[in-house]
Amino acid sequence: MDNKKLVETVAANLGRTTEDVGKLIDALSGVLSTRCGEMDTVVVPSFGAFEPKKRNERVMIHPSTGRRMLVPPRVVLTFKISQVLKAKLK
Amino acid sequence: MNSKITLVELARLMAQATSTTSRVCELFLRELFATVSQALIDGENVKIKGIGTFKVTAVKPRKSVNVTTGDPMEIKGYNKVSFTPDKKLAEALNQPFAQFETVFLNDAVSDEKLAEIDAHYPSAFDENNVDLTQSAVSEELNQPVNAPEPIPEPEPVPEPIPEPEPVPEPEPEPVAEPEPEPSPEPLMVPEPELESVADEEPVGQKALAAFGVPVSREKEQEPPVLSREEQVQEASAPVVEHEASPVVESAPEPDDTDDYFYRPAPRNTYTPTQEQLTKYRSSKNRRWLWLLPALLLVGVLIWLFARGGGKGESAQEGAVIEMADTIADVEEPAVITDTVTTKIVLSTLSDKYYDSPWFWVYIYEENKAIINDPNNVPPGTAVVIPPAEKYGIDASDPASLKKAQRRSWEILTQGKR
Repeated sequence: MDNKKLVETVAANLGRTTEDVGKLIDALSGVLSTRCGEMDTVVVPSFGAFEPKKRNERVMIHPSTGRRMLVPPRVVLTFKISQVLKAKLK
Repeated sequence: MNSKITLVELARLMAQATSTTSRVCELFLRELFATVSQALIDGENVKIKGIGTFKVTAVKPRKSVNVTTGDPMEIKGYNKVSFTPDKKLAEALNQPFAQFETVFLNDAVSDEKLAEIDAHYPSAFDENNVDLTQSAVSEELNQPVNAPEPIPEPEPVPEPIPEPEPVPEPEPEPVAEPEPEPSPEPLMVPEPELESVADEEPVGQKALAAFGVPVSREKEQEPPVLSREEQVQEASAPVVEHEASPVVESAPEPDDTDDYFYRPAPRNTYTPTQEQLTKYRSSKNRRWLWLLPALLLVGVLIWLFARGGGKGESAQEGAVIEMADTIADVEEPAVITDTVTTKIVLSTLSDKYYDSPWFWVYIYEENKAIINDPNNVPPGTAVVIPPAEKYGIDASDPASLKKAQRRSWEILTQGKR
């Protein structure tokens, strides 16, 4: 399901225009970006949690050149699926 | 900070951003995630613009053994959901570390050397998931290039102490020499800075403790601030002395005065003071030079010159008082303040006053008392713009820039995990 189809489905179910839904998705993205940027976890019940995590820096070996590299630390957004959805997926 | 945001709160935040009601947002969120869930259950991949892609992958059943009985068993296959954040979202989150790049390690950097560094920053590798060794390591690697000379504490240094480069250089120099550790150590010796760390709010302290490495880094960074404070204190002390006893001869021990006056001026405003002093010193020398031939000449002339000397002395008194006034003025330098608005943020101010947005960190540090979150300064906040010399701000100096960048990175990551 691509973004367009998702927006259309949600809009049809809510009885709203696709523009409205698009705006709301943009807002959701913005809120996720600011709140997760502050290392807050966004929890959606029976769906999962969006949790930013800090990855440590590490030394790794370049696969092709074999040189060692120091990979910098970074913050990544992880998604942890809720047990409810996980059970349904099985 | 590390708090959980529920669906209700998420809806409220969204409502603020979209100027709709939180009820509308909550309904939308429930519908959106129900749709996505249903699609995932149907085995479809879902892509949401601005958020990311959810992918369903089937995990095949696999054979294993029961760990207690040793019986062979089969783990059932299941569907797994993997999430890849949208590129823009991922970049926004990684913003505090965006300035870092992967660095190739030089062949001269042995594993032992790295282990040594690890041992030196043990807390960096604890389970806290916090690690700032990036700069710590590259700092070590870079140290032989520009090892900062240890600075004796009693001598306050107006310019911030040259520090090891924070940002990893693309090509770290080979580390062949023995650990250049002594340099950070003397800086860490002065204990008073612990107070300044302790002065910070418990959250910051906890964060520092959690960081492990930043604490030591903080230690390295604190001394300049401390020495500045000391300097101000010292500076005010002689002023009081001068005012109490205008005659220079009864001023504090000559060493102290020398130390004070011949210290490189941290601000431009100190320069006139120095000039005055030099003038005063030279006039003193001249007086003695004149008195010698005068003694050889006539008694009257001696008397005249003695009177001239007396005049000179009163002039000196005047100079000293004037000097004290100047110093007193320096104590309250013309404070530049500016106001943060919705359009003008710290980095805008930094760009305006220091020609580079990176120096916002120093504006923040100067106004720490009134700014809670540098990313979110309430519009209308009047901030003090520190004089550029106070923090060694120089937009044309890459070292100064890098220092500011590193500091900003530290500030921005301080409260995080």
